[in-house]
Amino acid sequence: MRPDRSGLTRRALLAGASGTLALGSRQAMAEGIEEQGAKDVDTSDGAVIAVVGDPQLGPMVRDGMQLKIEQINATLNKADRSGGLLGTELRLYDASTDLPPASDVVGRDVRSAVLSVARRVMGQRGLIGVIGHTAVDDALPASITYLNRGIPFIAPSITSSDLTLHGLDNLFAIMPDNAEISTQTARLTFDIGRRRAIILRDRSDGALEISRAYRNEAAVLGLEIIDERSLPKGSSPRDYLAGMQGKRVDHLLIIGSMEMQIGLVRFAHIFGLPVLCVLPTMVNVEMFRDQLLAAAPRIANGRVDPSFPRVLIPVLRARSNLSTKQVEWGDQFKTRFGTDALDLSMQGTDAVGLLAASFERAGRFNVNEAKRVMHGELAYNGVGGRISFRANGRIYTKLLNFASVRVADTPSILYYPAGA
Amino acid sequence: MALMPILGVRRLLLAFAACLAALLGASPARAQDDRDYMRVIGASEMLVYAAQVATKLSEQAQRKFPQIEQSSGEGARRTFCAKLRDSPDMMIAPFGIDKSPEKICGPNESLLALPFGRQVFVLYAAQGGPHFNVTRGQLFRALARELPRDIESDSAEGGFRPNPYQRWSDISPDLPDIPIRVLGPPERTPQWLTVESLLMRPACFEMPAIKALAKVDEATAESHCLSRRGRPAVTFADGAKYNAKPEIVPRGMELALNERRAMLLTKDMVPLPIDGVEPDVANLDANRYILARPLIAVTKVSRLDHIPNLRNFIRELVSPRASGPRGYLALTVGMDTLPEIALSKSALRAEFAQAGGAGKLIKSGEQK
Repeated sequence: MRPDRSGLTRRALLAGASGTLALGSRQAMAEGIEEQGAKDVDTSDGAVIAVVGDPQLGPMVRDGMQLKIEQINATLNKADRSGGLLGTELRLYDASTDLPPASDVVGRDVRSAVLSVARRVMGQRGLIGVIGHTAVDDALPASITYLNRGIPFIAPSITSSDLTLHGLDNLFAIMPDNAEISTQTARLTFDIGRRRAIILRDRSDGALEISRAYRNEAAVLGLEIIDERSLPKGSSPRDYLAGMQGKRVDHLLIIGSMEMQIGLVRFAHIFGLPVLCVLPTMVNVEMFRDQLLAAAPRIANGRVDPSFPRVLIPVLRARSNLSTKQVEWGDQFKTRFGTDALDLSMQGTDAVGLLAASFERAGRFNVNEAKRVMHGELAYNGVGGRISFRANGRIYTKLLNFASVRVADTPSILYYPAGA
Repeated sequence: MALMPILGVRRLLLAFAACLAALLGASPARAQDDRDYMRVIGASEMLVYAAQVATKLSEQAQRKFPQIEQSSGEGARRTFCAKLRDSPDMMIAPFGIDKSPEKICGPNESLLALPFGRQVFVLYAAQGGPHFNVTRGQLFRALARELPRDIESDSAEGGFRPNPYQRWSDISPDLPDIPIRVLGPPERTPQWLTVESLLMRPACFEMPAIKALAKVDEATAESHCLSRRGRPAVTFADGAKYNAKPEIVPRGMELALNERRAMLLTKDMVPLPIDGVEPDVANLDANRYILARPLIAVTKVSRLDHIPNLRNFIRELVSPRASGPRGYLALTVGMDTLPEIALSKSALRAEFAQAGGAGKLIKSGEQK
């Protein structure tokens, strides 16, 4: 078929015009950003840190942030302007429930909602940082809005590497990305003597990323990947698990939504694959255990079949082996909010601590200086461990712990704590 | 177009965001990950030392923290030795005194191996508590969850049974007639990995039945060897309390198994000899005490002058302020120190190691 020449020419012209426009405006905008960040933020009414999130996860991050902000403010002496953050009170701007839930984040409507929240946040006087967003699809457009003002943005829970792919100067992710989680998972499975795996994953980009990283580390360590299946939505596990019965494997790597993972653990048991199930994704481990227990098949007296597989998942804290800092923080959180602290709240606390430490080291409320410190020299010692960033803004210092979840007989969670 | 699948919309949005990012000044150099920090890998029980040194360095000179990664001893070696541009720069791992750490990656990788300390485990009791000589094999029999049905048999056919020994005298009539009560570090901590390497594995593999089983199925033999008893014979310390202060205090007839330095920080504790050897400095320096092993940092020589702070890190690690008798590794994380002369040798090699020289001392005339 002959190409439509006139269409091609028109498209070429349009592309050229938009390219020129982009180059021109890029320079202008970059100058604008530079100018914005060069001035110190006016914090005469207090320094503002905003939390942005959805109703499901946002409040967890907010509570952790609130705790740290109150601790910093408790040191403030207004008379001689000492303590606090550089002698200034910190204030929290709460947009922790303003975004649509992460599960709904598809399509243009959500994007405009996200941008409207981001613009509102940017309108706050004294803003020195934004913390939050739980889905990459809303975090990335919003981070560009934050970049316009040069404001540092810390994502406490997003693992997708799409977030840091572009190396935005103001974006910092304090959760390891999918590839890092997968690499650390592969090491642990090797360390506990597992050598032969089958990978079962859904067809999302994230699952593919996790699977690739696992394969890479497996190649280094000498783990054998016997088979890999990407599963279409709505397919029955019977179609492929039945064919795996004869294969000698010692673990299944299951990558997908929690529902899918639990379903596959159940079917692995039904099809007589009593192997370790490894789920290289971060979830709330107690909630996961309860859901796994509800899905587990029963034998006599309502007991779970003792041969039901053990499940291994990465976690941020090993509850059986908490550091002194984590114990103190957990107690403070419980006293303040009356509930047990979740890992996401710990991320919120660390995000505020990190921002505060950066401005403290910069010595003034200058966002460019704070970002330089975060990129170049900071090794912040948070509740969850050290935080330093790669050039692209992703944390590289987080050593994961692992939880071994067993629901047969007495449901239990045992931990493999990180070494350092 | 109106029916574009959801995934397509998501990709479109991401692409749009990416274009905007490019427009707004995300530098292409940032997107690539040129490493400006060092990577250290080690067996998990070793990483506490790397973390301490990294903390000191980053506090002193406002430096980025190294990437500290963990794996088992073998996992760490494979990752460290992988022929990848971005493999770790340094490995901290335990090595037996008979092993040559410079050769772990084969002949083509030039490595600098620097001993900087040692790990020592001791069995001890409170003053006035039981004091007797125990062999490594006897101690293993007190701690193991299961033992071969016939320990002396050189056949793997007999199978295993739960550990039947309730009193020390059940293991051997030479041992006192008191119940077996051993307090140890928290379950699933790096300290137990050291105990497994120094005590459980070697003692277990000395048994003829295990030797026979290992010939046909080493993994099963190993899993039997590393299984530990629970209460009342073995009690694990509480994880959070131990992290705050690694103290284990035995009372009455109890014994404790812990790092030597932690024992020394606890008042009035008396170590028991193992295989007739007391864990004192003279025996440690002469490599006579068997629950001890050297700590060695192995570094890729070719990376020494290319990775930021790598040389600073090894200089700090082998310096007296870190690894000396009054150094922070001894005082804060309980590392047992090397004799002064051994540490000085490491310090000299760290100072003068160059690509091509593999850590050999350069004569004064050759030095540029």
